[in-house]
Amino acid sequence: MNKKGFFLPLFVISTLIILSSLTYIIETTKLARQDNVGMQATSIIKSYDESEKIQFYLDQSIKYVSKQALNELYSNAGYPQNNSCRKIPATPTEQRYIILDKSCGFFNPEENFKNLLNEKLKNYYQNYKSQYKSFSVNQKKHPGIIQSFSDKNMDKYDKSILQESELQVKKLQIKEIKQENNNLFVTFSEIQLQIENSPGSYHKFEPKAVVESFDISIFGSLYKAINENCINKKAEECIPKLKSIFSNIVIKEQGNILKIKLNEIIFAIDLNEKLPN
Amino acid sequence: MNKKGDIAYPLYSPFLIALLVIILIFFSVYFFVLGIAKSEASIISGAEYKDSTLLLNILRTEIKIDNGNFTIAESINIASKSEQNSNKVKKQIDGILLKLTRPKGSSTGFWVLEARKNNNVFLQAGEKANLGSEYLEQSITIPSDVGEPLVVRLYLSCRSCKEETLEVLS
Repeated sequence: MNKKGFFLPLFVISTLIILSSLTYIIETTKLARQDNVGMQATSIIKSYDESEKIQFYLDQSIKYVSKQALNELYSNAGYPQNNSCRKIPATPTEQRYIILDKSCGFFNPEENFKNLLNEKLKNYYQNYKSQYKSFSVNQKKHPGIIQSFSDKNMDKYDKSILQESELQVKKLQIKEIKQENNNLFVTFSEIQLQIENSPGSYHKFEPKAVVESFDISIFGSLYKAINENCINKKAEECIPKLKSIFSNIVIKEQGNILKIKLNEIIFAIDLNEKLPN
Repeated sequence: MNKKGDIAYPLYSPFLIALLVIILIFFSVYFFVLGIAKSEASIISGAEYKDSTLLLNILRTEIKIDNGNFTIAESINIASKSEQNSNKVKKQIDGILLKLTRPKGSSTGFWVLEARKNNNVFLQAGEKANLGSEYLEQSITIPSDVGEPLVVRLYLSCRSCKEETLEVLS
């Protein structure tokens, strides 16, 4: 066999080997590759979007809850609704008053506010409904194009990310509350959002919320003024002094009991009873 | 052995050439006609490269209702309490939705904001296109003051829009 005779069979065989190898490599790579174009980037965008929505939900919740908690403290002299204070029952013309004395227990409106905030927020966490939409391939309308499913056919698709997101919110707790000036900064426990189609990958964040124009110091000022000017003193001595300190204060005298209203704060004191510690 | 090489060369050379042609035809069909080398990976729809910033910004916008300033999120809570409130809020949100930029390729589209409580729509602001479809939907859950979840949806209602040509707004 000369060179020419050897070359042609070799060429045919090598062509067959090269093309078969190429086919094998393409096929095996295709099987191993399950990534869809743009899937990971979009999954991360969706996860961040979900975290923004959770943050917004908490911002709104805390606005409402802080008002409710403050109103509860205002009508209970700085204590929660369930307190051990003595009470003057409501009449057809007047509302119920709680008497601020030792029966109430330790006086700490700030701590009571934090506890109320935590307790009331639980109801909001439970009601969070995630709007997360998982990916689906709409083969009929747009073959090969991946979209998030719409509300109409929601039942057909994977809800695991949505359910996990709701579960994470339900498990939330207040981690820290800090007061700076008139703002209350609330930090919640960490949330871990699973990134779709990336098992083991999470987006972790700690939601934070601010309660603006928060001032609970009025309870302290009232407590101090009453303790110094009213306890074990006569009503004629106490009332003018309180009125000189708080211009808006309204006081009704009933024997030893003084019914006090200052803006939204309503409570009573017994002149012969000491205030709580 | 002759000048041209192997004695048997004329016998097997046409066979080898035919074999080569068959191999080349087979792989050409395999690669180009069946498109085996082409990626089968699906592509994410362009509309997915978006977040809910537009809706969140709308919800944070302040409007005036009965001489009081409220964010739209708070107004939606107010609207959920009565039809009268809902009408007041609707008027204010209508004005805001009209000012929103519409994506290119959606000249016949209108932004619509819809709020639901227990799956019942209690507020629908913006103009819905006749026989229009919904595009670029963004939705969020916000709480009411008593803790009930209110679902708010923003979408572009458009009759002759094509999903592929709509440019996503950020």
